[in-house]
Amino acid sequence: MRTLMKTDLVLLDHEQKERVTIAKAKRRVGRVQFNALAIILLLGVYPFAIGFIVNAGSSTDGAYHDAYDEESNGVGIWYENGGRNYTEAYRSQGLPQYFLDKCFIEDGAGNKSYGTGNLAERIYINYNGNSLNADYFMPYREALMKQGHHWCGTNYLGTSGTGPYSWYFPDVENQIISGRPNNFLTGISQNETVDKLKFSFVDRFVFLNCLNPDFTDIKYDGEISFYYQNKTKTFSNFKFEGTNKYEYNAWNQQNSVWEIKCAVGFEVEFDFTGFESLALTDFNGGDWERTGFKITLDDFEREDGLNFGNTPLPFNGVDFFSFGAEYQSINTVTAGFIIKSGTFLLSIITFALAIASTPYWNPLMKQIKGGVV
Amino acid sequence: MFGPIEIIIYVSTLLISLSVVGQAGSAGYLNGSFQRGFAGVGTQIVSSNFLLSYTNAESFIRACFGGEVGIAGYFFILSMGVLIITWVSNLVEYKTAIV
Repeated sequence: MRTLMKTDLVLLDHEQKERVTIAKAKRRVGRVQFNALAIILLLGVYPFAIGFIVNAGSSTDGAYHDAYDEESNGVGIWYENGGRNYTEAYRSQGLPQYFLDKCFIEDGAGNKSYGTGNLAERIYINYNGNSLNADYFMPYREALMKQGHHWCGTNYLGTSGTGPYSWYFPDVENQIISGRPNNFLTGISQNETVDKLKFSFVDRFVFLNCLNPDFTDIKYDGEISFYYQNKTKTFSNFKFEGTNKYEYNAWNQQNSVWEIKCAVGFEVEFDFTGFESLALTDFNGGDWERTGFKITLDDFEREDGLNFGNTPLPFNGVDFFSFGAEYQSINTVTAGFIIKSGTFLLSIITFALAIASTPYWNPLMKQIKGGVV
Repeated sequence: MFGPIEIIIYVSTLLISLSVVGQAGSAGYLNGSFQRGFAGVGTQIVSSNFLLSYTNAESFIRACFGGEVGIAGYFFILSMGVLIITWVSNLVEYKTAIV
């Protein structure tokens, strides 16, 4: 009898120890699982969820529409044409101030003494005052613009600065040239919310062999500012990478055939997040006629690490370049709903994760019934 | 120059890397201090670079801070703050970020 009881006690003790060991093991497994879950949530699920929220309401067909359309009759000005280093390069040539004034532009000025005093006429204007038909010349409706050193003539050094290059396009009420209403964005319907703006810069009067070594991979930074009723909204830190080769189908009038052409050029796409698009609409109320804008491209570099010096850019030179503006819009209602409800959901999950990271509440361990709750 | 957004991301990934290394250590891996240091630094560099360079996390948090996402954005920032405070306090009290 006594022996039997002893055995029972030993068995009971053993069972209890085993139970504790299993509980400890389960707790450890539960903790590891929860850690893994938390890390997967933060590094795996969150980026996708945020990506979904950020791109909420984006156009699904990906098709661009002309922002610069047949109604456009825009006039803008060169604001900066290459940066201070480039200016110094001209100074070092020993040219008189008269020529220097014609060769560089900073802060939308730089030439106080030259010509008629009409700054806009000098530095930037549509070639013919009207937009040109799409497809016939270019895959987009284009405006022909004066290149950055148009008035520099033979004094042009023929090299490219690394930036900044910027262009200012005033709204319809701020005429630079009397009698020429400024509006580059007539293609965007009033009250429309813009998701992406794409600008094309192509030196389409100089065709090069598509294998020309002057074509190279480049990278640069971008910024776009909008002006509406004395307010400014700037979107910066855009990083662009690509090539300075613009390859497209062009109509050969002589032979009446379409042919592939290569010219110096690129497309600059400002892709706004869903909340940036909504913020922009809040900013200008969708009144695109009265919204001016400025594009800035800066810090040009070659991907191969070589000096940028002689790398051709479409807007550098003494002639003209082709300019186009296209856009994609978003559905404001869908975007607003996804952004706000998605962010709210993420907030709740984050808050729950914070509470679950304390010893007071652990849903995962409760579920596997092994741990201390 | 670090902004508040970068600091949030760096602190979060630091806590994640501490958690990863701690868990690996308790599972019997990464016993040497060099291994732990290497794994911790590696995890943090990879995860912070991933979040800053390949995702929209930075612009999203910036928009939440800037009020572009409305009240939901502020609630998200608050939740992130609570999560970071909890993990830091866990680290002090229990020597691990996630308890």
